[in-house]
Amino acid sequence: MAGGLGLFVCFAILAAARPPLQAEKGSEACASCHEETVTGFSRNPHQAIGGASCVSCHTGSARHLQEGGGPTIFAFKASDLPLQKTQQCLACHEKVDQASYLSGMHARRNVDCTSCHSVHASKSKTALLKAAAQADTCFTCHKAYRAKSQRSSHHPIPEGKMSCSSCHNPHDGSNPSMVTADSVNEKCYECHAEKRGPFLHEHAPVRENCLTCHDPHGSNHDKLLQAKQPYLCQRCHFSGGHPGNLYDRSNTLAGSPITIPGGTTISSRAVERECKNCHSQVHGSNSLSGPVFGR
Amino acid sequence: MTMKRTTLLIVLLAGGIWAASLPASVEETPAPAENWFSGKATLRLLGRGDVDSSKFEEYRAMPKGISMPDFTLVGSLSGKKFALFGENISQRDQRYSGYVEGGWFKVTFDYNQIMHNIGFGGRMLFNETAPGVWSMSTTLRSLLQTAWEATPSATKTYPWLLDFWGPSLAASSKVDVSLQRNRGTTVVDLGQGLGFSFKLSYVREIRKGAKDTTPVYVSSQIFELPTPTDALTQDFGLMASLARKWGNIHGAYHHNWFKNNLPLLMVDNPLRATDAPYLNPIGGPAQGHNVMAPDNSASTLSFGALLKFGKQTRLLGDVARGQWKQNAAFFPYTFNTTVLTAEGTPANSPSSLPAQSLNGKIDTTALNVSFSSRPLDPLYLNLRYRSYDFKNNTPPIVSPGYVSWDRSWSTTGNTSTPFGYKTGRFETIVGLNFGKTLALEGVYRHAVEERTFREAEKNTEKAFALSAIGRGGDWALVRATYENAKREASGIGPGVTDLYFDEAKRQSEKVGFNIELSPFDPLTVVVSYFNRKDTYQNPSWGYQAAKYNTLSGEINIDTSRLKATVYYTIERNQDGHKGYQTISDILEWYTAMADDKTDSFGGNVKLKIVPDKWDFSALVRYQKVNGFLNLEGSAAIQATRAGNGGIQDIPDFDDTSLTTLKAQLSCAVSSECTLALGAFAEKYTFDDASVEAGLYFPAPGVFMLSPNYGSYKVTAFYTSLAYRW
Repeated sequence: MAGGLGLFVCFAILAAARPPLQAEKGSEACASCHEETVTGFSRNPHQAIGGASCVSCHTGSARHLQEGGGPTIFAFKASDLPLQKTQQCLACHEKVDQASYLSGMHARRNVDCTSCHSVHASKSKTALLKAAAQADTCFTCHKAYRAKSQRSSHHPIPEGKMSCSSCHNPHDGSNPSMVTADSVNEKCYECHAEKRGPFLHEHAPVRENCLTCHDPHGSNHDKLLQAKQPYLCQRCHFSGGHPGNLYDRSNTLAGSPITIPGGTTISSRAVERECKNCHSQVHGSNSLSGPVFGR
Repeated sequence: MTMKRTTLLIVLLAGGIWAASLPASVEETPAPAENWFSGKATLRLLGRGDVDSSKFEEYRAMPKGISMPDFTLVGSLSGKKFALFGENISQRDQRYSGYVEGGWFKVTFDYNQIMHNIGFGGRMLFNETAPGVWSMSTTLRSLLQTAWEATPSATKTYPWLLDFWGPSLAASSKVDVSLQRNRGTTVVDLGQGLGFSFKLSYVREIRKGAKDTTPVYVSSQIFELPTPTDALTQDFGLMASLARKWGNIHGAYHHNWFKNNLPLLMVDNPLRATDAPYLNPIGGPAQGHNVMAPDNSASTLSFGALLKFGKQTRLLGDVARGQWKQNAAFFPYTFNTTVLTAEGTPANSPSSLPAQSLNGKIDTTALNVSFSSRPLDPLYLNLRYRSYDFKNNTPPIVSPGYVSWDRSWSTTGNTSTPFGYKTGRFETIVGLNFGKTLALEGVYRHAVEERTFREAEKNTEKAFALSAIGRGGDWALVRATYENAKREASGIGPGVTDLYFDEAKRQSEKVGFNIELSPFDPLTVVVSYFNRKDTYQNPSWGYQAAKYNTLSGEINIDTSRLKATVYYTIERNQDGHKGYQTISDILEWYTAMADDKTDSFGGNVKLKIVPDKWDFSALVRYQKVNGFLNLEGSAAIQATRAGNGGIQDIPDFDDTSLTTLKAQLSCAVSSECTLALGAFAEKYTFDDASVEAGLYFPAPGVFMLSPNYGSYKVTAFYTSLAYRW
């Protein structure tokens, strides 16, 4: 708390010389031709909170007014340079969250602010997005992730309980894959804090990167796994003995006769949780009887 | 819910006290404000059939009868703006969010209940007699023990096992595996009117129910149990930032706690009522156990600055220091009273442990530096470096052995290994813009990862990427990219020839393009393609390759009365490994190569039949996943499966289909009221070898819950009334 208070005081001092907010006015003139747009704008956060008017964003209005309309005004058209549109927004929005936008993948791929946001015709509850659900905005370009989100194992994004921005910051230009944490694992621990540890017995690939085994965007394997078990585990545990042996349908009840005296070829390593039937603590064990993650 | 209210009140009160202490001069004089309110509430009457599978309502509730799917209340009062959004009111998946905003403060909040139904109607030999304790009648256990120990192993065929367990299974209880995750988030920004941002945040998440199932291997049997969950995660944050024309500075502090109220899982051994020394196959523990996640905490302090210069030059630096701690008391090696350690001390006593807790500590340091500029109008430069140091300072603990599956002492000593690693990544990006029509970009990346206690001490990856963006007026946009990366491994331990795939030498290629065409005004056509190929270069065994490619097509029509989208996505995933099995002292090879194909089709339409009166909307979604694993092996391995039709794939979740249809016709009966009629249909199918035979324990000695998370088909009809004000 003391650190927080210190930060507050420092920032208050630095902010003392804050320039006054200077919003251009001009909406009245615009309303004579664009009445519906101007009326709707009165409850728009840009006007209601930021004090912006039409000419705050639509520069070049003087000639537009003189000529009674025409293309001289900046209207955020599809043919305008994406960078030009983005800079218009960043004039106000290049704050902390959008500060590194220009060096990010979206800006570098000519995705400008109006690709995702609509000031006058937004459909979302917040953030003035073009689609009602945030994920649908992202799926406009990231179509493979729309397909993955429908897999039998998925994070609750289609159900609206999470969104893409739960993990990614589309305005960020500094983190790989725009993940909003210092590492992939730190992002995962925000909801799965029980896996953070440290543990007595660590599973090294788990500790380094959750994506070694999981696909957070959706999978047709249980628990968002990259592949079905036991084959997923055998990608690394390929050595001889029971970790690396081949298990197939003949090791399941469905694929093996059950009446062989003395047992069958059915194996606990091929059914249900497969390897995890015994090694249930693969994310790390805090038991002194858990060197093989069985406790 | 009660706790959430308390949390919210505390944070609001704290914010209020804080705000009250601010000097009045910092408040801006409020301009005469318009007071207005707007909102919407919907009531729905729904009818549908019953569904036994948990999959239908895995993350969502679809209640029969009357419910309120949503409401919205937004407005402004005396210059204070507010908004309140509600979804699925009073349901398990309800959510409330919103904000209150004045001249110098803003409070945002989000209360989100996430249900996770994992399986319904699982069969249990046990009853939960206390949180985390699964018990079975001692009398029954004694009877089963007597019969089990009197029967020779050779007699225990599968039919015998069915008869043996039959009465117990017939009398078993049923259990639903289901988790409830209730998460509340509050952010109070006290700096809005002060020209900077100063935020306090608090996140509180309670998880209760069963987050999963946990198999516990007791003696020589496996019992799958719901994982009783009662956990609390909290995060308190302070964030401050100051943005000016010259750039910004920002800092943050977060402290996060995880508290597990059920750190131990205990289960009775159905085949033993009392502990006895284990003499295979007789004896063993009366109870098995599993140690669940321990309490832990993490703190992170970060600070950074961005400086702006001319020519769009930006210099960014961020550093974050984190510390994670875990020091929960160890549980004993076992709860079996008959096991002794090598020193002869009772293994069920904490005094026999080499340490009483871990004193685990991990320090993390993240560094991020970036320089970007446009020295000439068409030229873009970006140099950036990022490192992440994960330093595990946990002291290693040496144990002379451990208790194997709660049954006997293993003399295999072990020393815990506090893995650590450090990554560094340097990138150079050069971009060239040729007016509005063409942009080119080249990227060079050099990444290093260094590790402790692993097979390869270091990986170095060098990559380059090229991309191009072409634009043809308002009607065509093409993006294309290619990346090539090569990873090397060094510092490989003695005797190691084949590396785990996350350390192995690797050659990677990525190719992608996206074409957007708008040949005439309401029509847009999009085609996307992406291909990634990773080839691992292990000399003999291990993961071989991974390849993923996808092609999508989408057509959009957007007019004032009709908005329609239709899409089709094809995906193919191919990967696999090469392993071996020792038969007659010979390493016999096999390969397991996955080849999964997915077809996804969808579309939606919104049609204003009569503007401002009659609307129609519909959605269709279909996805079919055809999972296939191509297993091949040497002649010797094939011979072992000859009696069962040769080597075959195990169907396991990877063959599914999901079809969803929705349609709604709505009529605005007045400017305030809209009446709607709708229909919903969904069908889900999947194949799983584990439940294919319909038995509750698919392998001898493996007792699975076999809850229902499988195929379903449901149809629902509803009428709803939305009122706006």
